Amino acid sequence: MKSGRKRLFKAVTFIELVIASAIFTVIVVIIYSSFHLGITGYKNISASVDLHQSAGIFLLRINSELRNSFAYCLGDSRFRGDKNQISFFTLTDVRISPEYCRISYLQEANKIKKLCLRGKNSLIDNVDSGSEEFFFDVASLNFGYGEYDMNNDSFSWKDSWQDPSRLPDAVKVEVILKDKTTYNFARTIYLRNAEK
Amino acid sequence: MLELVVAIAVISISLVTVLEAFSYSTNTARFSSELTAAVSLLEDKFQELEFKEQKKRLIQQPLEGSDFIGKFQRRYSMTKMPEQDMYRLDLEVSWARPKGREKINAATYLK
Repeated sequence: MKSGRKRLFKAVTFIELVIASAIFTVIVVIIYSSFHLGITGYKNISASVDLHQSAGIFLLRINSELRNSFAYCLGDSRFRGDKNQISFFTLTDVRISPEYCRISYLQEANKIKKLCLRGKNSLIDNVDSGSEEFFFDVASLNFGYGEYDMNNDSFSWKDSWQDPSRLPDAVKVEVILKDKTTYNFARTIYLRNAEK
Repeated sequence: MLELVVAIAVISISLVTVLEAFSYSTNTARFSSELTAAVSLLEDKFQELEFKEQKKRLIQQPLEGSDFIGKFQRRYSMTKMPEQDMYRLDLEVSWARPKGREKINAATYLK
């Protein structure tokens, strides 16, 4: 028996429900994937930016410290340099209140450690000093020491600096950091007080 | 059918926008690290020539020079300024980017 009344609401068929559910699922999956991709990308980028900023700060600091380095006295510069560590006298806080200190940089496990002995303590070996740590994923920290040949207008580079009478003319600093990828940061620093 | 097409179009547009934003931020981060490296190279060259100025060996240097460090090309040129008894030093570091070459410049004076 047919009803003479017009149908006000159309029912949803099973196939329509399935299609709607499928579309909804696809949308949810795509949104989640994009969000996840974005978050992962953001984490990677911010880690990389942090790493670059820290490397930049480290290189800026060592640059200013090495450029202000000086020989302790005539015949004994107290500049010690090996392939993986360096120690020298320098002036810090030059603009505010200059103070002389002995600074050392060395690699300990996967960290770069900076030791700073200020004032009279800088003349004493084996004294406790404040240390500062840089980075936690250091693959290697390398130094090279350059001597300038005036006649040939060129530098000869060594892995260590053994000459106690003077400072090297230039120091190459290379930091290799290993995160998910390997980052190489390098600078050549020219010492202003090499002959003094 | 029409709803389906509209839904897929909306999804595609949103997805493309999200991916573009992601790619843009990745590029910006890469550019920032390249810029940091380029500035370091520029400073290194400046320090080298300043060192040679201190050693009174600036006059021995060629007036123009160029070298490659990885993907970076570094150029310098010195212009004699006889009236002031000085050199004008122009430095440039350039490198390839997906949308052409990027470069930074700096200039200073040496005696």
